[in-house]
Amino acid sequence: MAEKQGLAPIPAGSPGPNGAGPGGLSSRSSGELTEGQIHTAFLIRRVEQALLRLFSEGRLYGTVHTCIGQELIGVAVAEGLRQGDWVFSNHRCHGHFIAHTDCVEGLIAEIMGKRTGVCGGWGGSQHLCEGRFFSNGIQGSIVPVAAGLALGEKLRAAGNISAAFIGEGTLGEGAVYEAANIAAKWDLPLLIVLENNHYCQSTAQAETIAGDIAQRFAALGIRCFEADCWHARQLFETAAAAAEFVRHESRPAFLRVDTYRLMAHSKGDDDRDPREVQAYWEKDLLEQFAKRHVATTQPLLAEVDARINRAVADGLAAEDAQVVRPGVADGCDSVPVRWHKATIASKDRFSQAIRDCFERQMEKDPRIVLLGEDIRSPYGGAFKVTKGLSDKFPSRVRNTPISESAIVGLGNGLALHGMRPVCEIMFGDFLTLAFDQIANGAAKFPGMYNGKVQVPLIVRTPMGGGRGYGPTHSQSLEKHFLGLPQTRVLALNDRVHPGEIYDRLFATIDRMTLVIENKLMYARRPSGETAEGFVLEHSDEPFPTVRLRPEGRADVTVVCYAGTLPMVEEAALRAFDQMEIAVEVICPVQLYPLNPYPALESVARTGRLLVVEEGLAFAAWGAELIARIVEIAPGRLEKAARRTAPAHPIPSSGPLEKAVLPNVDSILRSIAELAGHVGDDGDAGDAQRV
Amino acid sequence: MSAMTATRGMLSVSELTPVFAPLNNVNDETILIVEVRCKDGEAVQKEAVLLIAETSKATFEITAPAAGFIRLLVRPGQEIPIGDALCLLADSPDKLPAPGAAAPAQLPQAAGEKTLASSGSPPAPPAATTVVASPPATAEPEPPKSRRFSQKAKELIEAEGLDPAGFDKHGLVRSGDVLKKLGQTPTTVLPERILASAAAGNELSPAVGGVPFREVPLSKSKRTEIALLAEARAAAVTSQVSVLVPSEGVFTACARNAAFAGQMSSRIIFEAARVLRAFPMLNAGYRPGHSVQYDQINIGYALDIEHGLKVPVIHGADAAPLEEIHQRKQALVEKYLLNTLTVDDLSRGTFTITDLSSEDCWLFNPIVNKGQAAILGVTGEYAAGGAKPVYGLVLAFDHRLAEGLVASRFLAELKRRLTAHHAVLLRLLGGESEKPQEACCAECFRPASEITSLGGHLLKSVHHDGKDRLVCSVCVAGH
Repeated sequence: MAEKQGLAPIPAGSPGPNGAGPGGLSSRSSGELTEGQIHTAFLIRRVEQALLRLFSEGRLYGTVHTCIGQELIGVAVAEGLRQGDWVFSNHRCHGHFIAHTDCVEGLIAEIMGKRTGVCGGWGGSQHLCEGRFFSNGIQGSIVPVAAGLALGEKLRAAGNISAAFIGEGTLGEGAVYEAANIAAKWDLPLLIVLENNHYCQSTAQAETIAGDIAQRFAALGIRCFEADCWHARQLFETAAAAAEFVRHESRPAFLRVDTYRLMAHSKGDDDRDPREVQAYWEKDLLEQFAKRHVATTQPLLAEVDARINRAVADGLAAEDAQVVRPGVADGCDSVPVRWHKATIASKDRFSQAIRDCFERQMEKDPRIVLLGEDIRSPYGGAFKVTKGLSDKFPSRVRNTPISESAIVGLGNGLALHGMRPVCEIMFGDFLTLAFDQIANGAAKFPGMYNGKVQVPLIVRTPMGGGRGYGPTHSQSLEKHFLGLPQTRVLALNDRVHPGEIYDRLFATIDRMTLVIENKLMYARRPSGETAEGFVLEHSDEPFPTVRLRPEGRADVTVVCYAGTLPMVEEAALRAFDQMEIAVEVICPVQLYPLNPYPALESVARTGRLLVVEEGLAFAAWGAELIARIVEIAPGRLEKAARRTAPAHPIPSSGPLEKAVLPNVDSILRSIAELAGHVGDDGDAGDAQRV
Repeated sequence: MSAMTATRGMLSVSELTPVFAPLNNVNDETILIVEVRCKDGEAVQKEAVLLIAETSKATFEITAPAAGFIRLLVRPGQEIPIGDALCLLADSPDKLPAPGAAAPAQLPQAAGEKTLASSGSPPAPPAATTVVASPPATAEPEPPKSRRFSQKAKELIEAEGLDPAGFDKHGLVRSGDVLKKLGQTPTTVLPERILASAAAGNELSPAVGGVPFREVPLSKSKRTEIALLAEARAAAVTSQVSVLVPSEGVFTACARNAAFAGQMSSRIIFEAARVLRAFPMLNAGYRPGHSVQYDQINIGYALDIEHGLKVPVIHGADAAPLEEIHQRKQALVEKYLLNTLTVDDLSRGTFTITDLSSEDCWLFNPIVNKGQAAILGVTGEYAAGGAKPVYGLVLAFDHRLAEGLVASRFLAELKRRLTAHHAVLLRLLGGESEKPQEACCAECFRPASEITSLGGHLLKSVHHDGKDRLVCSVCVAGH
């Protein structure tokens, strides 16, 4: 491989290291590229030039990142790929898109914000989706997703490959290496294409990239290919060879293509030396071809321009994007529920019950793949939820490196592929490392691709304290994951069998679903047993809400979720036995989308609400619940309180941890305080405050 | 699941004999497994010690009711509800269920029956209610199927002698519901009272706002103690009378001589037991509308020296001679310190003495124990600047059973009797002749003149060694 480390942009006026020599797109060598290749390259350039024009006329939304000067890369890679292959591109994706799909009209309409755009105007320039082509404006995170698509191909042995386009600025993002490591280790058919245009937006490569680019991938055992945009034949041959290697060997490859972006990064942000830019314009193969083959080029451009003009005219005439699509609201409507007596069949521990459910489901559905750290035999996961499953499903239960971003990224890719990935994040605290994949990937794909895809991905993780694991292994961070579009957040509790929840989830999953489990709960057994004087009920929601209803007048409503339920129940019993305060407990499984009805219905009777959660109070689930109740039914709620953890890291020391997290005593205190503001009005209470 | 079903089938008694957590003390709902003395699966003989368990009062052994092979269901450190199975015995090892297949909670019926039979109180909620699958139904205002009493409601029902069964299927039963049944108007419970009652029951951490705190869990025995005292106190209408007794320094003097340690306490027990004979209303318990006067005088002697508050009992104290009382008392103290008090040692007290004479304490407020009418407190010796030393006798009593006048008469009589003991003890301590010049009682060492002044007389009796000796009528008959 040629030593290209620290390649400096060519000084103005110099021929450059690779000057347009025998490999160029010259008249002499025009036979080296087909008419189709030249046509596509010009089409891309003219489309982007049209977009720049439309932008300056104020007819586009957002901005446009053009690939003028880099077009041949997209054309060359598209030629190496086959139908059935997957492409994941980045913010500078128009060239890749046109080369792969030829969907000029859909692209122009999309960027014009029209309903006829490939994503109905929801995605725009950077977020395209057509067939098996995707692009996303988040850089490094596309590589794990592309690796996930490759894993899907590997598992299905369909013989297709996955290609990811990155710029060299993206080499600064860790997700790239997490994915490359896994792709190399697992022999995934993934082609990583690096378009090395020497500038990361405005920052020259010499300022940000250390060491050798290719060696980063070579060190992982990934085969590296190199080419540039000024030797067309070599570029096409290398791209074809790289794709063929990936397909034939079923192993990843890295293709570095040196190039130069002739226009600004975006719009009006070009601080490069104009002489340098000019030198590359002169070196540009399309420019040279147009000058030397005027007779060939003119009709070609005329044809291309006619198509573009038509597309623009159609775009202008098309309807604007639909303002509100059905199912795109936040989905947190108050939906009445009906209650029935709770029944819990099994007496297994939570960890065993979840495991057995996975085994049952994996036997039934070959699309289910489990990914996570230390989940294979003999360890079976930090909380033993996957114990023994890798013995039965060796290729579908996979140990990953410590790469949370890549774990969920792979899950995203698998889900887009149509698989049913289940990602285990060993501790909920580590979910922060995967936040980008969840918030900018899983949660956005369905909406920004205008409903063309679903992300049936399960991410499961234990939250909660109580084991002395300290500040980074005891948190309840779920509030940060609530309210993301097209997602669901569930929290297991002691009163619903986890198998019931996962069975339902596998049967109906249509979106990224985060399942909050609980460290202490794994050793417990789901139970339907209740104390005298209280009735345990489930709602008829798909993921049932639990209600512990006192037989008689309720004085206070306590809403909680996840691992806090046993404490709340104990407090409820003590509140009655010792203070004659009857507490109705409401414990939803589904935190988001939120159905406030079960809590609201209870609050309508009691007027007093306590929300107990283990996470921090500010902007938490309980705050949202209280806001919704007040919005929907003003005046019903006389008094509300919340019992949460203080805004402080969770201490490791047992007694300290116990003191800062909600406990039975503190919950009981809050109940007493809430009840204290309304006297025991005997019969009047029975008459209901509804 | 299949293993469990099989277990249930096998539990049909004839083949498997469960050993239940026994009820040793009416106030305990659970026992704590301290030690396991047998191996799971091994063959045990009849009467073999299987487990060591602890109640709030004492530790005791649980033995095998029959010979057989054993399947343990409990571990050390577990707290097991009374009546739950601790282990299973089978006549052959293959009849035992698989380990872990049968948990105590799977024997709710047995648990319920046990509790009911032995305590006579309403059956406790079953430890486990197996949820049976039922078709989903919309159950809005469904009539209650169970009942649950608040603590206050429970107390009211007990105090008023109501039948708890009258509240079946009432759901949650508050004190107001009980009052309604009694035809009374429930009083409005003010928020302050809710909070105050919660605080009094120690149910809420007494945290002062803004002050950081730690929660230190109380021991099981302490929690039981709190529950019993709070219960007794909540029910009783307590009052208190006290007298000062010139001591002539007898406590200090006894404390200086090891041979006399505890002598005064023994004499107080001895005399109090005898005085109680004339005051049956103070040796009694309260039942609604009745004073239950006990036919035995069993003096509880409160001990709290690093092993928690325990009240071992000297049964039949009014009939025992002084020397025996002293010996029995000292033996109980020793057992207390060795933690070997038995349930029997701690049961059936009818009156309590709490003796703080060894402490530099003055004025205290003893709490009448559950089921008793009064408690006698003994304060430390006190001498204010040159004055003669005195100590105090405090009688706290349930005003429902006695009045201040009765209590003060009891104390006056006790004071009079104790004063005589001071002189005797000081004489003995002072090295004066073991045989006093004047004829005196061989039990209490009081001289004949004093006995006479009490209205008694000396009797000649034959000691078990065959020798004659003089014993006063007070020591023989209590008066």
